[in-house]
Amino acid sequence: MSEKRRHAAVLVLAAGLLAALYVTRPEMHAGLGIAMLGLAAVLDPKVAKRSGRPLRWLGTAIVLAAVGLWLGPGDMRVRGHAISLAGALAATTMVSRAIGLVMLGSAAGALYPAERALARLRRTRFRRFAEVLVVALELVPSLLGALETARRESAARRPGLRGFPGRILETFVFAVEHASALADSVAQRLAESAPQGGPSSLTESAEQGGVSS
Amino acid sequence: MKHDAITESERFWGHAAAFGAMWGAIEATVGTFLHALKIPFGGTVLAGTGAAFLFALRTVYPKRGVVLATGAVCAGVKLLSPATAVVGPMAGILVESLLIELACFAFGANPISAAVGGGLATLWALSQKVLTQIVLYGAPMIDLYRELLQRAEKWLGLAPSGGWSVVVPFASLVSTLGAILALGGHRAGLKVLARRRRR
Repeated sequence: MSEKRRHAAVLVLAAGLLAALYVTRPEMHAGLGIAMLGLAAVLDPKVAKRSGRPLRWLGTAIVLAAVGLWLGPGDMRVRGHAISLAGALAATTMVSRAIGLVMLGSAAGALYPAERALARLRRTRFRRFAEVLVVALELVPSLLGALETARRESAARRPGLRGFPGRILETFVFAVEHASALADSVAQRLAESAPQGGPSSLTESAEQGGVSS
Repeated sequence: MKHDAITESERFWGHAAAFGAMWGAIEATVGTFLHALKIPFGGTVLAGTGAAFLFALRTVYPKRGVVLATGAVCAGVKLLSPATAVVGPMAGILVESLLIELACFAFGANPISAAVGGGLATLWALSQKVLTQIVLYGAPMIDLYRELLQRAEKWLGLAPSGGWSVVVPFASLVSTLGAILALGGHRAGLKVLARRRRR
């Protein structure tokens, strides 16, 4: 099965799960949620990975079911204490619904990735915004490095817990100053690239401008 | 062909690109830090940091629309970076930048708009968490929160008042934190402007 078909299959199953939650009895909802997680893991591990770890979903279900048992209308008595089966079942329905929605979103995102939307955007009147977005994306790794360097230098100047507030402020001011300096060089490169077009020349120039500032 | 004069549009987008990318980098570093330490309401602190950064931008480059444009760039960076949970943070970034743009709309970046914008941004981060859970888990989530508040009131010996006696002080605390952080951002922006003038 091709990757696209796998994504589509999970999308259909997730939509099916959400519909099934409306027409089936609450006692079945936990099983439906578990089945969805299992099927997705087998059919499309990529989408299943993006939808959260199964143990986490199980943990959430257990916590919410416990809260439901405690806070819901007391429809059962166990050793003299009133507990709520309806509350616990409502919790499993909530978690199964969340699993369905998240799987639906992950499968839809895998079927139509954002990169394709960006490529389309470049052919419209929002071309400038698309170019700016490409520049910003390529700046992020070098900015992460610059922030980390600034943080380490600040930590060397202001060590220990006492220096913590000062370090935060110094790193923050550095971030504002650095971005402000970079803004002028990005603007210059946007101006230079306007008649030529093409994001690749724009991003190379922006990175060089960033290093020199 | 070399351009000697940069148009205002290019300067505008230059700031949106640089600050949008830096905001994305700050979100990645501060977000990882908060997540690693498992600080309660780390999302609220992150929103306050974002508000501070946006006010610094608006102070350094006082043009209407630049905050919203920066939010759009940062949201785009978030969308295109590898991560599992994207839609929630994207929506948060866009709404936060809109709130701060509105706060600065009439009178620009000043201590009052910083306090208002920062407070609104952190309140939004708090409500977004609840709203996301309502969308994801369904309407019963509201009943769950209401029930938890009523139980907390009972244990604390408070008069039954639908949970507002707990919610209002808590929301005030959160918005005060946001206001303080945004004011700090405005001050940082003034510091950067002062350094520029000295050069």
